[in-house]
Formats: sequence, C-alpha cells, structure tokens
Amino acid sequence: MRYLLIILLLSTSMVNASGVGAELVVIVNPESGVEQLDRTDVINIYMGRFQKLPSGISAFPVDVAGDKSVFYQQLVKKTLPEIQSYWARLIFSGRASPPRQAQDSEEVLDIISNNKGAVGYLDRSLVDERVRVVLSFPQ
Amino acid sequence: MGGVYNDSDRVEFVRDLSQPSGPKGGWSSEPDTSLGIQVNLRHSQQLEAALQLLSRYDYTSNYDPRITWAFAKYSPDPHWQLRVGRIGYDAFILSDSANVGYAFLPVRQPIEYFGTLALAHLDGGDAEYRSPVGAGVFSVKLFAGRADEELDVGNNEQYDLKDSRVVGFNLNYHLGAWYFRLGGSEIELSQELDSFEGLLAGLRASGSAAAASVADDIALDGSRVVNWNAAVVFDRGALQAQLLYNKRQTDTLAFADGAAIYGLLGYRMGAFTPYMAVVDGDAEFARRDTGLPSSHPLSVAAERVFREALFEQRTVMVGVRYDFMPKADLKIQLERLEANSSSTSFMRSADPDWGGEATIVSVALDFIF
Repeated sequence: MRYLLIILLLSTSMVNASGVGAELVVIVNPESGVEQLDRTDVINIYMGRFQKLPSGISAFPVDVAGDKSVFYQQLVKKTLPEIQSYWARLIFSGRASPPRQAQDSEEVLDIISNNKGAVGYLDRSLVDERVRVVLSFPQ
Repeated sequence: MGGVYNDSDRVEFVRDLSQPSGPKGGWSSEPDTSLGIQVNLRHSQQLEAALQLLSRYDYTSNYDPRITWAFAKYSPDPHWQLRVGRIGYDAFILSDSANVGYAFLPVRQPIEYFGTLALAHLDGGDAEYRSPVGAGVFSVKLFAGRADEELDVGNNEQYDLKDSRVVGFNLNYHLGAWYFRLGGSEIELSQELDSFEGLLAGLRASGSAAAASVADDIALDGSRVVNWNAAVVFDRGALQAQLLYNKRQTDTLAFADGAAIYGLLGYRMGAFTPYMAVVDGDAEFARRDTGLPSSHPLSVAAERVFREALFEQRTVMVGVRYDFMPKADLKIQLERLEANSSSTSFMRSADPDWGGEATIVSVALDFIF
C-alpha cells in the first residue's frame, strides 16, 4: 500500500511537472444509483440550478479547497471570484445554498461515502473504492 | 460601502426612490453604504429558515436597520420550493438582492430600471417549481403578499406602500450560458398620498364633472401598477452580457405608463472586469383637462401632478470591478445621466433651472462575510 501511494504521488507530481495539471474527476456515492453524469448535470448541481441526480435522489455538491479553482475553470470557465459573486446573488436572493466546503481529499471522500446524494471532485489518482467516478474532464 | 460624487450643484442624486436626499455638487457616502446581516438556519435538506437585517440610508433618513427577510423555506424535493414569511421582491430579474453590491458588476442597480417601484420585500409567500426541460432547466415561480415600506416622493414627503397587495409570477429557462426570463407583477396601492388629499377633495367639490373625473384618474389609493419584464443573460467564461426590458402600465395619472431598457456588457481580464451599460427609462406623458380655467389653482396643481408623474432618464456608464481578494471587490464607475428636463422624478430637490444633466463618479468597496 505504501509503495502504491508513493507511486501515485510520483505520478501526480510528474503530471503536474509536465504542465498539464491534475486530472479532476467527478465522484458520487456508489449507492447513489448513478453510473454516469454529463457535464450539464454537474453544472446544474454545482450552480444550484437543479439539484437532483438522474436516479431521483436529491443531490448536494461538495467543493474541495485545493481543487476548487481548477474545477470551476474546467466546468464553466469561471474564476473563483466570479463563482463567489454568483453565489452571493443566489444566497442573498434566498434561492439556494452553496456547495458544502471540504478542506481536502480525505474529507470529500468521507462526506461522499457517507451521503448517497453527495457529489464531489478529486484528482483521479486519489479516488478509492468508497466512491464512483461519473465524469472526467478531457485533458 | 461607497462614495458618490455628483458634479451638478442643481440636483441631488439618489440610489433609489426610498432615499430622500443625496449628494449635490459634491461627495457623499450615503447612497451606496449599507450593512446587511443574514442568518440561515438549516433544519434539514427540506426545511430552512432565514433572517436578514439591512441598515442603509432610506426613507427613515437614517440607518435604522430593517428586517428585509424573515421566512421559512420548505423544499420537499428538488422540484418544489415553498416560502412563507417576509420574502425578497422577485418581480424583476436580480431585484431581490439589489443591495448586495458584491453580487453585481456595477456599483448599484440602475434607478431608471429598478427604481420605479423599489419594493425590497413582501409579507406573504412564494412557490417555485423547477425541472429539466430539453438541455436546460425550466422554473416557474408565483408570489403574493403585501408591501410594508415607504417611497420618498420628494418635497420631504413619503408615500406609504403599507398593505399594498402584490401578486406576480416569473418563468425562467437556463440553457448552458444562456438565461431567459419573463415576468409579470401587479401592485394594488392602498393608501393615498397625503399631499393629494386636498387636491382630490377640491377637484371633486369643484362642481365640474371633468374635474371630478380627473380626481379619480390621479388618485393613488386603489390604483394598480402592472409590470411586465423580459430578460436575456449570457454568461460564459470571461464574458457577461445582459439585456433587460420592462413595460409598466398604471391606472393612475400620478404615475405614468412607461418602459425601461437596461443593457450591460462586461469582460474579465485577470482580476479586473471592465464594464459598460446603458439604461433608458421612458414614460408616456398623459394629461386630462379639469374643465376649469387653466389658471385655476386646481388646474395648476393637477398639471403639476401630471408633470411629476414622468420618469424619464437615460444613463450611460463605464466602470471597472477589481476583485482584489476573496469576498471583496473595489469598483470605480463613471456615469453620465440625462433626464427629460421636465422630469426630475429620479432625482431629488432639482432646481427649476437644472438642465437635466449630471455626471456621477462612484467608488465602492464591497465585502461579503
């Protein structure tokens, strides 16, 4: 296990070193009844437009501190200030609640494995059997 | 938090019609400085409550905090959302968070578009249904309630909107970077303006049938204001653009029918987002004959009401928003406004010789916590 981790870390840093950046994938709970999400589903969930998984469960999005800015850049080509300003509009109009904030990959894995409706994102190399990958962003 | 400079020393500038006065030939922090506190209590994913207090310069002529929201929200599933209590006024797009500077590109929501019926909140409820349709998300919202606030009508007088009945709806469609919206609302005013009482009584007692009918045409109590509005927003990557259109129909000559259009374009470059906007509010001048001589004091007073019913003003603005740190921004904005010279309704204490023009410079610092 330790070797595997080291190899994973090495490969991650190699990817980063090559300038391509980490490959973020969208993850859900394996018992969510969801095999796949398309980009529109993820935008609807993360932008508070419609928070329901195709399997019928209410969805709630989780942001991950370190990966947040890359995620929104890939999802909607927006910077974090723009996302914050967008949510200010929604929060201060009483319309929707913003994504729950996770500090790191361990916390997001924990939240998702304990909530059927949770949706998160993570570097592909950090995904484990507690979660299911439902969308990856083309490099 | 913001400072506004008005170069004209013949007229006062205000942010919206709830403010009785503003800068004239100088700087003031009054128009754009406000502090809000919002508390959201989440009982479960289905049940939430929210309370919002707002302190700003308004008809109370001070910064007395007002309760702008106090509602319970029930969302049995992702399709439905029901709210009961004091809710934001969602008749125009973006109108229910009009005091949160951080949420918008410009320093403030332009008065020519949002100003004519500046309700902040309603005591009542709303119901919203949303669902995916095609590749986008469709939603419909109905709301109803009663108003509980005042508008400043100039000359140190306030018009009380308390108990005015409000109903409305909006239809929304989000499709990728596009957002489309159609809405309608009706306000039935339920109070008379104090300074109208004498005029109305005089017209009705004048013995002229035409004058009595002018009184009915002017009266605010019982009259209705209907607003129809449409909006298209495009927001992708660095570019954001919006076009808003509003049409107003009223059945009082003290508040003319009119239309307003608001176009905004912004493009982000790093932490800076330059923007420009054009807002144009037009009104249809309407008058009736009292059947009395035109020099009769009642005719003169009625004529003044017809003139003051006009809300005609156009503003062109350019500005830049600088997101210098998370949850805070700095904005600088330059506006040139031109009012129809007989229409000073969007301004305060206009001198008779004000030519209808002013240049406004605003600097604003917005924080959210």
